[in-house]
Amino acid sequence: MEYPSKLRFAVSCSSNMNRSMEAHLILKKRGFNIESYGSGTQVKMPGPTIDKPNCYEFGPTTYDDIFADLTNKDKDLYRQNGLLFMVDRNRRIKTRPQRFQAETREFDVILCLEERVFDQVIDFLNRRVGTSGNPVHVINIDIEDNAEEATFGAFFLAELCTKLEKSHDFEEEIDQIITDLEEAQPKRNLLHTICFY
Amino acid sequence: MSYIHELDDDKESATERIGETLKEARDADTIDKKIASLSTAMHLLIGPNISNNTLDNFLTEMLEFAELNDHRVLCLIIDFLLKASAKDFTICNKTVERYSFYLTPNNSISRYESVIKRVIVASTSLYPIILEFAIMDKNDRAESCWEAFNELKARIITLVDDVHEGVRTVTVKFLEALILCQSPKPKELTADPKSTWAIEANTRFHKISLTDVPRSHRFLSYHKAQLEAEQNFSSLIKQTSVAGITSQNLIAVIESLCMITRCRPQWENALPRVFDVIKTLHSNVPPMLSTGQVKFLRKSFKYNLLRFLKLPASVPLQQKITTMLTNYLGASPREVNQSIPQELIQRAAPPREPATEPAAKRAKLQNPIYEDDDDDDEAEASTSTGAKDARTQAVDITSKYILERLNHETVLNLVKISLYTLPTEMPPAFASSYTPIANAGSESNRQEIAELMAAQMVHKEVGPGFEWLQQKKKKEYEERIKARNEGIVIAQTPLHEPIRAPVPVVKQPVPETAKAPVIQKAKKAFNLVEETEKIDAMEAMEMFEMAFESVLQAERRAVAGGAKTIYQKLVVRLATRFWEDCAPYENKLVEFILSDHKKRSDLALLWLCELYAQYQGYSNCALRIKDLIAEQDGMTQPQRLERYDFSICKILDAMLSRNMHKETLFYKVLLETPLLTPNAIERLKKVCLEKENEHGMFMLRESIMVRNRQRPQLLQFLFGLCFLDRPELRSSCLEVVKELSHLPFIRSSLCDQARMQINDCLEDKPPMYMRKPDGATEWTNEMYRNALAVYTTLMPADPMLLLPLAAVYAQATNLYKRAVLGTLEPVFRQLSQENVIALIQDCPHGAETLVARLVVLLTERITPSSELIQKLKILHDERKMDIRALLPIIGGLEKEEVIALIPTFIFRPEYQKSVTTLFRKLYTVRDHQTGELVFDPIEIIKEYHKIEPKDDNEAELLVNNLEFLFDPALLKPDIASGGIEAVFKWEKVPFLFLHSLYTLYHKFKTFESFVANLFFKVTEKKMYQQSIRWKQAFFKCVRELKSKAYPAVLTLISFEEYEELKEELGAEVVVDFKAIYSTLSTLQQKNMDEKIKEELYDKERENRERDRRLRREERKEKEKERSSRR
Repeated sequence: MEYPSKLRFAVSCSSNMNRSMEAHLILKKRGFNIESYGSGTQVKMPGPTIDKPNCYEFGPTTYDDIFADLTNKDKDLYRQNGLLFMVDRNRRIKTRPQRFQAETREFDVILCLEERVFDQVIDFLNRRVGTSGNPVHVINIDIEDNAEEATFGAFFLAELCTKLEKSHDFEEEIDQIITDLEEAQPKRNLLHTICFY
Repeated sequence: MSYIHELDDDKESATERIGETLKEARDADTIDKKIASLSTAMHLLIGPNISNNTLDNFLTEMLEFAELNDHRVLCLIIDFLLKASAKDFTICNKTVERYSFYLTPNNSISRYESVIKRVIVASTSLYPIILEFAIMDKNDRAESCWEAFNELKARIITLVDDVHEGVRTVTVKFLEALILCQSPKPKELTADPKSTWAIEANTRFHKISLTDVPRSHRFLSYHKAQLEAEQNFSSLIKQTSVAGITSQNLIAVIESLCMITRCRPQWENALPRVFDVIKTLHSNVPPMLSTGQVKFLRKSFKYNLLRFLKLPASVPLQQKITTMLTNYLGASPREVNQSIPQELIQRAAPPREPATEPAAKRAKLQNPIYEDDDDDDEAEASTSTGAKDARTQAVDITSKYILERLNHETVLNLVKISLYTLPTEMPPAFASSYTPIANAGSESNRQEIAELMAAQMVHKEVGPGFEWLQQKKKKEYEERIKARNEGIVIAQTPLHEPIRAPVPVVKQPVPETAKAPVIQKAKKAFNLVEETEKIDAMEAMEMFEMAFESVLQAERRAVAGGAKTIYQKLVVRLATRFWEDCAPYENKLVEFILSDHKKRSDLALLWLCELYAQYQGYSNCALRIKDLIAEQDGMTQPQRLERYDFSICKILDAMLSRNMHKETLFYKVLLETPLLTPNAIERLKKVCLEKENEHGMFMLRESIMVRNRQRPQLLQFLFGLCFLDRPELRSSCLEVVKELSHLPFIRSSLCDQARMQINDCLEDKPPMYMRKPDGATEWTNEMYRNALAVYTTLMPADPMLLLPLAAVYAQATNLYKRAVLGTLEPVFRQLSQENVIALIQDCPHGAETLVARLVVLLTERITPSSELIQKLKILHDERKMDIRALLPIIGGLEKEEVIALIPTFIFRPEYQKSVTTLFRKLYTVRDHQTGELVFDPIEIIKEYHKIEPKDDNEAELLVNNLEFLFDPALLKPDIASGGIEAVFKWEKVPFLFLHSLYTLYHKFKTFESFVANLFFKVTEKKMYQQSIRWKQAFFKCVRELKSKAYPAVLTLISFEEYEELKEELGAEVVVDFKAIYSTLSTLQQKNMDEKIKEELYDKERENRERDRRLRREERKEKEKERSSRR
């Protein structure tokens, strides 16, 4: 819906696989208007060794495809390291990983889960030829890329989103909300800026 | 949105689909559903297969949804208008008008700030569209659109320091659009759209710019637009140094400045100026930013400076930018080198060309005298650049001063001093900016430090550079003063004191002289004081007249030069301030305005505003007037008001005489002047009284809407129009009232005025405004009706008006009461139960009949609630109201009460007309909870038959009203028969029973045998013998039932009774009896009284039949004989 009563959130990590999907799940359960994305060039997942990652193309690949591929390659390994479980969870949330740069929809707040993603998102928003000119707040919150931190991080995001959603005029209060959170969790590397569509 | 493509070839179905979607939006019960439908409608309407005509047709319908007063719907409409304007330029006017309206804060709508933000965002996108419209379409429509947009623009610009953070941010983006659209686009960008620079400068505003505005454009002033952009660029730069700016806004401002720099690096020295801003900000980070915010700010600086390196214009600054990036912003040399395009690396820095600036500005800069002129905005614009240049020089001077002293000893001392003043905790701004410098102590590093320190020192207003700057300013000021003292002509603000006609005047400075560029040498050679001679009054007057004429004629050039406002001020001041009798100039001015009234409406308004200001004493010549008043020498305030009134009427009359009252100027004078005098209202009346008065009524309506202060007076005028003998005028007045009543801010004054009007009806004589010109001085029904017309229009929307009406009704004459009941009946029908209950509670003494009528009308539509019944009963008992008032609520009364009421209705002559209503109510009223009938109809019939008449009159009434008791429209046949059978079973059957029998016979056609049967039983039991009334009833019944009663009568009554009956019914009845007799069975005939039988027995007929029988037998015998012979 183009004119929702709730804030439109987007959350982005690099591959739209672990952190952003965990956040997607938790925020969706809490009733937020949320979409998730990856900002990298490919969906990258750990492979059998560190120099042989599993890479997939954003767009045509579905989570089902990835699940089938991983099962095919080494079912035991990927079950053991939790990747199959993660992909299985993801395919119950949505069909496929989405690249942020391919999205035309507008959001009110974009949550980036590491500084590199934040830079990519801002660079994309600043370099594209403007369309509507609507403002969008881009916030960075560092979350380590592992299952446990993803869950902790998602709860932290939920706290932030609840505060923003509850505020009468979030643009008025966002500055204070972020400063407060920054004081409470100085290691999250909270960065905030405003861009325009 | 595949359906859009499906509809490609089928425009009609697309239109239908839009209509349907809008209908869905109207019918939807939640805002979410409405928005979904509206959004679909919007996408359909702006789709490529929809013609502009269709779009136009649905526009109003879409806009009507704004009345839902929901912020999301409003945002949708704002977006829709933008998209529609992009599709069809002609919609732009409407869009700008609506945006101006929505920009006004409205506290009654929640989250309205989101609407304001959306208006600003949409206006940002609308900017290039409007500019294109103005360039492409040079007609009046485009001009008015551009003017309206300029007003909107001015309002938006003021929001840059709004209380709402979000509003401020989007306003900054709006300024960015303004600057990009109103500044010339560099040729290089157009020449090679694939160059690195063009890619960097690719924004959504690249399609149109000031370069596309032709110099000779009729209403778009190239110069003015450029000036505006320059001023706003400077103010945007100033925003970065505003104390207390928030991080979000600071980022928005910096991003906008950098965007402008990428697109227009050389315009207004943008690149060096913005680089300076970044440098200053970097060393003076606003103190309240948090660690994360400072980090991001630096990130933003780095990002933007790296992008600057890609611009060809950055070559002269390449070294400085690179140093800044590597030394202070943490960029690696590789990163920096990669950002510089190959073709820009080795290019030598060309000297900055002052020639790129517009020639006009160069002239201005060389002529500082202009800076003194308060009214000249051009000069103001130039000061910013001038001052900035001086400031840079000041920084350079200080920097040189510091560099000379930046030796080991001084640095050591500085470090020592700093150690004492260091804070215990490292501030976030410092922590993030601290980077180790590779070339510390080198010459270039010393230079850099000196510059940084110099910038800080000038900022803090210390050091030799700042002293130099102050000296320079002082010198410039002294030069100006000196030049003036020497008699050099410097354009002054106009003389504001009125000149009394006979007094000799000092020679006026001639404007042409002031406009010519003054060269310093010439100033000294020419001494005006020496050259000046006194001139006499006549000469002065002639000269003044000539000057006035020439100023008037210079309009086109003044407007083209962007000095329209100044020009208009000048004309108005010349026309109104200098003479005691300004009439000749004012007449000229009116003629001048009317000769091209479309363009000069502002001038007209300015003129009237000036006169109003003089009347109020606000004008600049007020001091003089004050003095004159103190000496009782000048015009008093009433005289000045008279002058204002005279002038406003002068221009209106002039337009009326030329039949120009449909022009915008007429409308503007009525609407936008500070005060509408009674005489001006009379002019409006003239227009309203014309045959085709739509325009007049429209102006009246708008005036009422716009003029808060004069609203009561204008409403009184509007209401007064209803009393003229013109039905069509009255209906258009009521139309206006109806429209106005939808506006919450007018409704209350409208209602107050309407209340006053009905209160006027209590006067002994009708007030003047209600009387017709022929002057009937007594109240008439028509007057009352007219006085109630407005009330009738208002009451449906505001039922609270009922109480004041009742209060007036209570005290009014019967004629008025009848008028109220008659005129307002349709309105009364719409009142809700709560309104009626409220009135019952507070019913003024005397308004009981109104209450009764309201209850009747209410109960015709709905079942009354128990609360209403209770309240009405209390009122009825307290005030001893007419019993008929209880009829509507009869269902709520106790059964015993109702039964006791029946005889009252039956026997009282004045209630006879209500008997039918009584039975209708009794038979139909249902319990509003169970839905069942409250009263059992059989019970009612029984109770009716129990009523004992006291005399013959009552008996007759009882019989007559049987007709209503047995109304076949209300009573089912089985109920009626059940009721009457129950009565028949009583021990003592009342005489009324027989009357009921024939009534039933007449009313219900299927009851023939039922009635005959009962009658037979009555006759058989000889009931009619009980009393005279019974007997009369018996005869009446026989007469009415006729053949249905005869068999019973003939077989069961005695001969005496038969005789009596014959006498009662007339002798002719015997014929009928005889006919019946012949149909009776032999047994019945046998049981009859012999005498009756004898009378009815027909001997002749018997003989005739016997003869016939004999003849027949003879014939048969003969035939037998014949056959036997054969």
